[in-house]
Amino acid sequence: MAVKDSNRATNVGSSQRFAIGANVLLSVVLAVGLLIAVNLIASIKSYRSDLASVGNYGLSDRTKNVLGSLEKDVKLSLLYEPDEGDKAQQERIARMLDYCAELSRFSGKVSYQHVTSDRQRESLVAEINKNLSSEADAHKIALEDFERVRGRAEADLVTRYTEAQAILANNESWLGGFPLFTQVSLALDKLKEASQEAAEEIAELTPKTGIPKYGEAVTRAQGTVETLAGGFSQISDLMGRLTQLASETSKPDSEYIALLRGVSTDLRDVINNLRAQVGPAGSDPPSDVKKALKGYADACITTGAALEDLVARVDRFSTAFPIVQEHENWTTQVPSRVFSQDVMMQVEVAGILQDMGRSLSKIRLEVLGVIDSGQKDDLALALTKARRNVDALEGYVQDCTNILAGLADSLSSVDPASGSLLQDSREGGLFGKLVDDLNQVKAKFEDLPELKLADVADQLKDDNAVVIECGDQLRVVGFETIWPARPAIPGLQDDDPAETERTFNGDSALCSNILSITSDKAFANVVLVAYEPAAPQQQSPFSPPPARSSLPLASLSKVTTTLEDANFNVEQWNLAESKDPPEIDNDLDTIHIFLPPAPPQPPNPFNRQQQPSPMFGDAEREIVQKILDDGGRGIFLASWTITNAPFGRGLMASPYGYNPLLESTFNVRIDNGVRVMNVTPDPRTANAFFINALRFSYMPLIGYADHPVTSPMQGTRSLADSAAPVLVLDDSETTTNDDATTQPATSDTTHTTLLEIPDREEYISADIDSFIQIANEVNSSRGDGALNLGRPLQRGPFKLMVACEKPASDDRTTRVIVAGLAACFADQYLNNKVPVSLEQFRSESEPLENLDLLLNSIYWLNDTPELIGRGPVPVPRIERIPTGSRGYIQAFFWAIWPAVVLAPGLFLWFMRRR
Amino acid sequence: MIDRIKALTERELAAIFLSFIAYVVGVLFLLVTGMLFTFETLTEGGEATMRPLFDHMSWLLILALPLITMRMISDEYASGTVETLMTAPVSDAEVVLGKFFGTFLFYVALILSTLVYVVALAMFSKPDLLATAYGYLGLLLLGALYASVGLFASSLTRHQLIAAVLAIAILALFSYAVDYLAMIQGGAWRNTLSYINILHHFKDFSKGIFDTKAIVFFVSSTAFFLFLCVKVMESKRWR
Repeated sequence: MAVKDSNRATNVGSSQRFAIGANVLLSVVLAVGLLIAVNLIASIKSYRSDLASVGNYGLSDRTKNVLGSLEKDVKLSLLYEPDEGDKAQQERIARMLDYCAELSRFSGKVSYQHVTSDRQRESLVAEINKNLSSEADAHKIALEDFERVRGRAEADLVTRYTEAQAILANNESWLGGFPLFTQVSLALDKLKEASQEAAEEIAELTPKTGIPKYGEAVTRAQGTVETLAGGFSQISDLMGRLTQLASETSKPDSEYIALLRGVSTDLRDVINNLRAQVGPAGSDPPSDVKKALKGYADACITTGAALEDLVARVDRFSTAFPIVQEHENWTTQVPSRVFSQDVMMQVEVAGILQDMGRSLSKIRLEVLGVIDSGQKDDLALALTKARRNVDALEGYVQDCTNILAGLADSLSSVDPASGSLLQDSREGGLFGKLVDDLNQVKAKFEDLPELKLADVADQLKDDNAVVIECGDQLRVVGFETIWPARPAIPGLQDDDPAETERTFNGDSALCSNILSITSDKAFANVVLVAYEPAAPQQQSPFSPPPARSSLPLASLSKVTTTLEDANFNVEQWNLAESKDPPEIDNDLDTIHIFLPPAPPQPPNPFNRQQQPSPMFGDAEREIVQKILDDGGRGIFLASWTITNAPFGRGLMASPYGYNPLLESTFNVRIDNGVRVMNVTPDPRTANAFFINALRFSYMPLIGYADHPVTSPMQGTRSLADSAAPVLVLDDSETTTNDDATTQPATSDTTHTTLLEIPDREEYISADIDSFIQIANEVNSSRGDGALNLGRPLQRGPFKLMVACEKPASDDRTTRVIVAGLAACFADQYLNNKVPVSLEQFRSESEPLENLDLLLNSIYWLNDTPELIGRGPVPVPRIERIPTGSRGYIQAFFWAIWPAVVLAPGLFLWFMRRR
Repeated sequence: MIDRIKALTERELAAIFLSFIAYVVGVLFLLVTGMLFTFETLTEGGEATMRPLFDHMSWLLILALPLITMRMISDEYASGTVETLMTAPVSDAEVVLGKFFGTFLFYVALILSTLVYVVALAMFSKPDLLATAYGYLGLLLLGALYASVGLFASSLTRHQLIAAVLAIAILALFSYAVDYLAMIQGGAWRNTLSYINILHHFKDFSKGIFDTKAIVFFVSSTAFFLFLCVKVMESKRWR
């Protein structure tokens, strides 16, 4: 056939050639069409599945579920700055792009874009700004209101400050007589500056282009409102009091001005009687000195009474108008001796008069004593002293007379500038309207809803981030969330690698955010249950400090934010304040997180009559027991904590308040007597080890079980501090715990170990004595971290997290998780970067992965394990390659194996040549 | 027909195994992949996966396979044996398939020789064998496509070197060039260009993702280039 075709082909004519050519062309066109059709059909009807057991590149089931139920379009924007020289970055970008391509391939509702240049970033920011504007509408209006009021306030401040300066420049001004008014002037200036600074900062926070930080701007404005309102109130109050004073003193028939003048006049007469008794200074003594002195002593009584009356009259004025005491003429400087030093003291007029009265009674007694003695010389000396005293009193009287007269003059005469300002202060207060307006703005600020997107602007500053947009919802997922630090392999990897190794957690991170922004309804209620008695109001310096929980409610803002971001409704319940659970107006299931209760308050050794401090006990446990009996779900968090033992007997481990309940209900308890920690064994000496100061507080958690809660954590760097082991008790075991003897739980409880540190020489448990030795070594700047406790170390396995399930009423199952990891969920632990090298001051990102453990637990307790993120996939690692083997391996792959392949070729080639 | 293809396959396989160039290509391929494996994959603490090596192999083969296939048909033209082949009782399709399978079997042998890497990996870790096996399946499909392109290029010219360069150019066009174009294009063009990117589909295999679309792409593309090759051979008869 082919022969025939061949012969024929050699003799084809041009027409035949055309026909054959056309045939070939047509068949090629048909083949192309077929190729396109087949591939089109294949791309429409394709089946895709991740065959890799480590599931590294495909989408997790959760992500598929979430994407499958998407109703709105989701747009991902990948923000990065390509760096050709950074291979690690290129690999990460490629990986991220692969993943986004997977998302978009799986669901047509997901699209993604690259944002690599500044221009693209700007346009994204503009787009986000446009989308965010509706969410921040109320904030914008409130800020506009604030700006209006602030503008008016600033204008008023400028005007008033100018007026005040003019008043102060006039030495004769009524208000200038009050040094306090100088402070008013300064306060006006400061308020003006504060207002201007606030305006500038708020303008920076809410730029016309870029993403405005309305949340921060409102916070800043709130502070300014409080400053302005507070300042205005103080100034208004002060000016109000000055106005009242001016109203009174400027009256032609002012009672108090008349009073001042009257006192001034009367004061002159008061001393005259004394002078009359002892005669003028320097004159000859009277013939009967004794009689003169007696008259002087009597005159002292009448003068003292007169002075008291004058003081009372002056006090009447200052009581009616206390502000008058601030006038510069209300006081005067008088010489005084303090510690043998002559000093000038500022004393009020009334004070001088009182002192005069007191000195008169003292001198009178002395004079009477001299008269009784009858000694001639003493009488002469007493007369001299009396005359000197009268001299001094006359000086004081003259001063006081001048002061009072001057005060009356200055108070009675109000200059026009002061009068104008005081007039303004009189009519509704100087800043009364402004204060009202500021308070209204303040109230508006307080009513503003929380901005979910408050920190978007800061997050977008990151070089690497993914922006997820869905309708008017938006989330920014940071680099550290997508690429968390890879957990170290104990004993294999360098303790101080040059660069943080990272693992891909994009599936969990992105899906969690997509899930939360596309879900309209909360998944469940999470109630943070604490026991935190209020601290005594009056704390004696001898009392020990109040006992606090190792995980107080105040330190759970990170946990709260994470749970809220994950679409849970979070509430708090302090059992010490209320025995009733918080009211929740939805029909969602509730998961409780039982925080470690505050330990009992140590007794005050100096107070035998003290009232017993409120203490976590049976009443609280009964409340929790009831929740559990009704099929409740919860997490019991505990950690190893130490407190001061009573009466200064050193340190002791704090008991865990829920232990009796856990034992009686679930047959588990927290072993609060020991702390699990990570050490580096010293291979040279038995029982010896090195303490790594960094691992002391950041113990790597290994040993996560294949359980929905913990399997996603297997590839995650999770760290713990003050870990306390969980003990699962035998059914037959009856234990006496810290404060109660409990009956063992019935055998219907199922225990599942979620996290168990395996029996490895790097993990030990330490009791209180061992811990003190270890802690001293850690805190010692001289030690090398080497320790030998002189006794065998307690090695694992240590259970740190156990799930307990038992049937409850109404076909429900009570399900709890008990974890000795409370300390690793506190803000102070989660907000700090993890130090990895003390020498190089290098640190890794905050241990936020710990929160995944909590979140996974809540999903599981809520019967929604399908919502648990896959977490970074624990890809098997290549173990240590013996140093000697490495050379052989290279020799094999670089020479031997290629040679083995080449050998037959050479042989054949040689044979053929022969 | 199958017997004839089988006979032609054996003939071509023997020819390849007897050609020195095949061994040179094979040795160079193993040398480079061996170095890449020891430097990049077999590192302490590194991920126990063949994926990076698969990705490297995918571009190495763009250079290697055209060197194997370049002489397949062009040499027949150059040496004049094509006349004998045309007069032999075999169809053009059978000739092309015989040459294709011969090349493919040699390629399979070459790829099998890289299984030592998997063995080495397994000695020091626990690699995901299913994903690895699937990656090898991808390599086989990739090799089949490369071989068909190489044969097609070889059928176009009597000069081996030109055939090799042509094949490399076509493969580079359908991998790197379209990848670049897809990067700078948007919308439907990007999707289309991404779809015709050979390496884009191969990545699914190296990642362990089973996708019928990728399999259909490789099989249909291989068949298409073989079909083109047959048509070029046929055209020689009437030109």
